[in-house]
Amino acid sequence: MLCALGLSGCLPPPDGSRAQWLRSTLVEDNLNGLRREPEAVEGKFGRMALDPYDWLRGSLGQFRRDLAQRGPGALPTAFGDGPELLLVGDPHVENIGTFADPSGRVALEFNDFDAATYGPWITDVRRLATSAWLAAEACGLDGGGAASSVADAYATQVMVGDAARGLPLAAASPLLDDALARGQRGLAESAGLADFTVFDSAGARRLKRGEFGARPLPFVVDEALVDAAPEVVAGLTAALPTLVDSLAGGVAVTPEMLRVKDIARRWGSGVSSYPLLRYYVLVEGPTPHPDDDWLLEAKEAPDAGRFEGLSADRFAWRFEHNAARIVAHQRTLQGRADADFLLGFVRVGSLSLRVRSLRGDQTGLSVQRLCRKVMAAEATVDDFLEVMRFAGALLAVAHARGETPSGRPAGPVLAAAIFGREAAFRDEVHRFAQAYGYTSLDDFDRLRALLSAHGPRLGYAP
Amino acid sequence: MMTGRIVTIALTLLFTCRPIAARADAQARPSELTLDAELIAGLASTQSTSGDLSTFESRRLEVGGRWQASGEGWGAELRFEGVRSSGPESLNGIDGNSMIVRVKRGWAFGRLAPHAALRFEARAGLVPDLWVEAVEADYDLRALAPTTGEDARFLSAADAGASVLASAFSNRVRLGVSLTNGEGYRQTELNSGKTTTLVASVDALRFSFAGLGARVRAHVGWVEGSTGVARMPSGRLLAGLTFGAHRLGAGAEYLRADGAFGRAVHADALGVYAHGVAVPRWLGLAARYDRVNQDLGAQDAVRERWSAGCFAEPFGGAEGRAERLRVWLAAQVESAGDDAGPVPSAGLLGDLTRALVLLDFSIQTQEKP
Repeated sequence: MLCALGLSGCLPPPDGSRAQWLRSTLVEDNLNGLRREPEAVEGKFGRMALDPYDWLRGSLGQFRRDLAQRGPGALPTAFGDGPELLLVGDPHVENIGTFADPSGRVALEFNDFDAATYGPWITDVRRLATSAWLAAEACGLDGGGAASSVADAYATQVMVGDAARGLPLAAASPLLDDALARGQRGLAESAGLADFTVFDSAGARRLKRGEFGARPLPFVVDEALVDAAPEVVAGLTAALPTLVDSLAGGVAVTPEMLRVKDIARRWGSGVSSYPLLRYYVLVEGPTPHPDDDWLLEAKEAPDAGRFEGLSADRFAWRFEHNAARIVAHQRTLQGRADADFLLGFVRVGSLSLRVRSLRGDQTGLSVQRLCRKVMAAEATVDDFLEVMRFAGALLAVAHARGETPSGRPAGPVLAAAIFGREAAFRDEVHRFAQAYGYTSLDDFDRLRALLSAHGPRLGYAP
Repeated sequence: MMTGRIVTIALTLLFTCRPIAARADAQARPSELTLDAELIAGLASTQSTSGDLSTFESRRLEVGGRWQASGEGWGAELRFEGVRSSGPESLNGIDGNSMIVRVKRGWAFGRLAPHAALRFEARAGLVPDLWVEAVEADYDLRALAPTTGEDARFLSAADAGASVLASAFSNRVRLGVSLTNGEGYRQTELNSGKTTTLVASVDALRFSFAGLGARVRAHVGWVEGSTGVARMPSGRLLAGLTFGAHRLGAGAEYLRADGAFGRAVHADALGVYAHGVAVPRWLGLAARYDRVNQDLGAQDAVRERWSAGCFAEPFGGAEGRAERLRVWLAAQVESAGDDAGPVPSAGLLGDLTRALVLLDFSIQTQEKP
């Protein structure tokens, strides 16, 4: 069916246990979504099949399994025996984005903490390095150089120490400058509100409805806002004032400011989180005037995922629900509570939702955009590698802000693990990223063949 | 073909045996409902490379009931367990750190005794795993760990399907065959393939020990099936030896897996245990060793666990009583080989020591014989 839809040529069914394993685990990881809204998971699988980097974004579960079990990712490490640390969970190049602080200064930070949990820190480094490898290959550059840049910068930043103080705001690459400038511009133009809202005939601001982008595949929505289910509208409207209880403070927010004016269901956002329930919520803001309305995103908070060999719920007792975990870890790993003063959580029935503001300053790095700039000679290969160095250093900074499960600061733990072995660390990370990068390319092909052979749900039948 | 036969046999027995058994035993016993509950909970203090962690744990929380019709010809069991949501092996957990209740077993049975020395039982529903049921009969260390097959995640305690058991010579020989989904009671069925299980148990020895009956049982089993939407192979070869006597128990269980943990790998697991009461009411001793090789093709994918503990039953043992309270003090040491996850050559991450203080409480409405 998919070959007829243009996803791929009519590929033969892939053979081998690897393809079987991919098919089984992809269905397993998305089973809740397949039962609830199969079309949403179809969209996710379809998006993962568009591009090898999108495959990476949607396959964190496979990546973690591969690390732990004998297989393509099971390359030994000399850096894995230290204590577990608080992890970003899914650090990759496109999970880095801009945030403005209340003074209007824009900085780059990791921006997705759905998978944040405690675990072996080397897994975060390997994930980021693999993403750098794939990003470079997508741009026609040397993946190994990009992965080494991540590792080098990570080790250097760890050795510098005092990493928790954070990186300088000024970036060292025109590609990073470009991202910062887009964030600054978006802030100035109130891009979030402008992009997703309109004024009705009575002069009241409302969320747009409709599909705004062209579908890359018939069953993959690019960007759409549709009416939310009435029970969700009622539940969110009632629950949203409780957001104030979970805010970090710093900016006075009252329940009145969170009075709901409109709610719509967002489709087509993310890759890994594509099937998750995601709502855009227009609220009153500081005054009744529509110009200062706030646009929020309330997103279903998923499980962090697990590491084979480590019990998944060891630290679950620390949080009431997943949204609380994500928000707490985001504040810790970003090292600042003022990156988004509306970051918090609410519960609607059994659903926990992570809430954040949708401001124009929040834009993410895009591999496609990086490639375009390099190919158009607007940036050099060194500029590209500088982005990867920045990503590596940023991960080291985030890790250093965290701690072990028992409360020991992470910085000294990392320094002790790497000190005197920086070259070996870089070589190991490089080797891993290269090996797993090629595996990812093969897995991407396997996914396309699986979709072609078994359909957009990979053969899952309720 | 075999699938259809097993289901047909199970259902035929289930629906035809009632009148036969009822005719034979109608005057013998009235219908009977037994309710029971079991709670294993306590405090665990764990030391690992990631630091120390003390947690209250709920290891088992079950309530259930078993009803037998007059004459024992047929009946049913329904059992619920409380589990922490979104935990390991829970594909469909509810967000949050809550306890949820789910059905662990729910099955109907019918019995047929065509001859004094031969007895059949057919089951259908969410039926007990034949192997776990066989080796669990003499196992009394549930507080420390489930039986080896469950603990290694090679088997599930129950699954949706049907089974037929035959026993002969006063239950000295038991043979069971089942046909189930294969995913276990925790997961939903994801393929149309079914899992066939064959288990045979023989009382190798029956003798008098300390003036009371004792037995040594040998068990063998075979499982063939698949899991997941891609029908990953899931085969098992099983062997075990158990010893049960008054206040004593011991056993060894070995399982070899063709396909495990969602991969096409070969793995195996060994569990050895012994437990006994040294001073009635005040001192019982127990020890257990578990070894799981997660991938026989890897250099060192072995996880090992040593457990030792003592227990007291301050209100007396379970014999002739409807309730039992056992207080445990135990220690466990776990180690992981370099290839045993979570990342290769990071075995220390999987190493830990654990001290346990546990309460193991059970009660049922009918006094135990």
